[in-house]
Amino acid sequence: MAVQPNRKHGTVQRSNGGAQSKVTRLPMSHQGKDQEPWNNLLEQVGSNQDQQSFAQLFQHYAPLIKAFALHSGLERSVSAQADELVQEVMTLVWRKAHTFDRAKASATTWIFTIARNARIDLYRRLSRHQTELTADDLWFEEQTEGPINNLQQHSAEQQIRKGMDTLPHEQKEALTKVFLEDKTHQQVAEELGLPLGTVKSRIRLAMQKMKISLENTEL
Amino acid sequence: MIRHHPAPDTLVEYAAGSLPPAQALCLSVHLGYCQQCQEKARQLKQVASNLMAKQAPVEVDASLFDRVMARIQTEAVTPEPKPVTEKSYPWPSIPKALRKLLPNGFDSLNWKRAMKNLEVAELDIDQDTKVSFHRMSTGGKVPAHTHRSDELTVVLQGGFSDRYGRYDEGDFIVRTGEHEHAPTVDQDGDCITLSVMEKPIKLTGRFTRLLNPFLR
Repeated sequence: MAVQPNRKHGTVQRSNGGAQSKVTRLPMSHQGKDQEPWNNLLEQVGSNQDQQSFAQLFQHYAPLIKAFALHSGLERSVSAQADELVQEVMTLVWRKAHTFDRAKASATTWIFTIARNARIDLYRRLSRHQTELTADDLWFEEQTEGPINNLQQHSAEQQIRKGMDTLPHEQKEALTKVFLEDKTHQQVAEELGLPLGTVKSRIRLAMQKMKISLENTEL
Repeated sequence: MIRHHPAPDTLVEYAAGSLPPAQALCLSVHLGYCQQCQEKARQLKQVASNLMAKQAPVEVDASLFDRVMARIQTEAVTPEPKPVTEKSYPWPSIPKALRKLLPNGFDSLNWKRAMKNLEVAELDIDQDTKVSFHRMSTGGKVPAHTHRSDELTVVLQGGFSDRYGRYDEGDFIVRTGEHEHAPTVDQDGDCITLSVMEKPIKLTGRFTRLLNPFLR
């Protein structure tokens, strides 16, 4: 049974004034391009503890977090781990919403970070590797102090989305295995029966298509 | 000046979350010093979140929503406490990523002499890896040694050089088990580094994630 939060179908009231703007349900492949509704909702949760906004966020993100959990094989060993991750992540979204800053990252990226770290912590708990340090501590996020060039950032984000849409199958596959299936380059190579160099090269080419340069300029 | 950075695939695995935790900590420390790598990590996370957003969504049972709502409604509406780094911390030169581990600075660690000009203080981060701080005496030369396993080092304070190059604050250095070196420390102060090594009981010379048959 799908989640049915109580809200008017297809419209979101903007918080700044009376004008209502329609936000229609876009097909999945386009949703990455329009972060505005999710940024707004998350800010509503953060500043007003707005439960309606939270319900809408849940409806959108919970199925994606579940897919993310399943992609990384969480369900294989212990059942209901994927649901556990969804619960953990959405609870953290509620608790941390007041720290969300749209100038630093979109709502999706912000939520992805929570999901990634929660997944790491869940694995550490399952393998009994606990120390008092959590994934948030180990994958410590610096607060960027420098001026944020919004235009540059926006253009970089556009290039990532555009580039991702044009990736050949084998590059997309490599990216999916590394980023969603929680596999190292070595593990991907072993799974696909490829030399490690080939996997690294596919990732590198994918990055080039998205105009991301990972090489260091000093070397 | 930072000359040594993490390799592209290390950055990718960091953003993806598959990097072993002790290595992730080292990378976080490096990012505190290095704007260039910080920007790369940010873009990689963007890639990851786009991939997450483009997945085919998997239906979630309505009871899950109810459970989450029940949980958040019983919680007091208080913001999360401020992290340790935001309170006044008397050692500004210690990277923020390490402040939770070092609530009382470097001097309060349990330093033990390992060899001439080298003291070591061990940390408990994870069962597979040996994580420690190394302090090398100013102007000193540490006797030549190899490590049987790969070592990842981040320079936190001061600097040193060896036959392979120069290393300063923020440098992210990977050495394989075959490297033999005799670090010479700069004259202007002790050199403190964060070091991550596989525990000697591991037979392979590479970092491997714990392959728990229970999980995979």
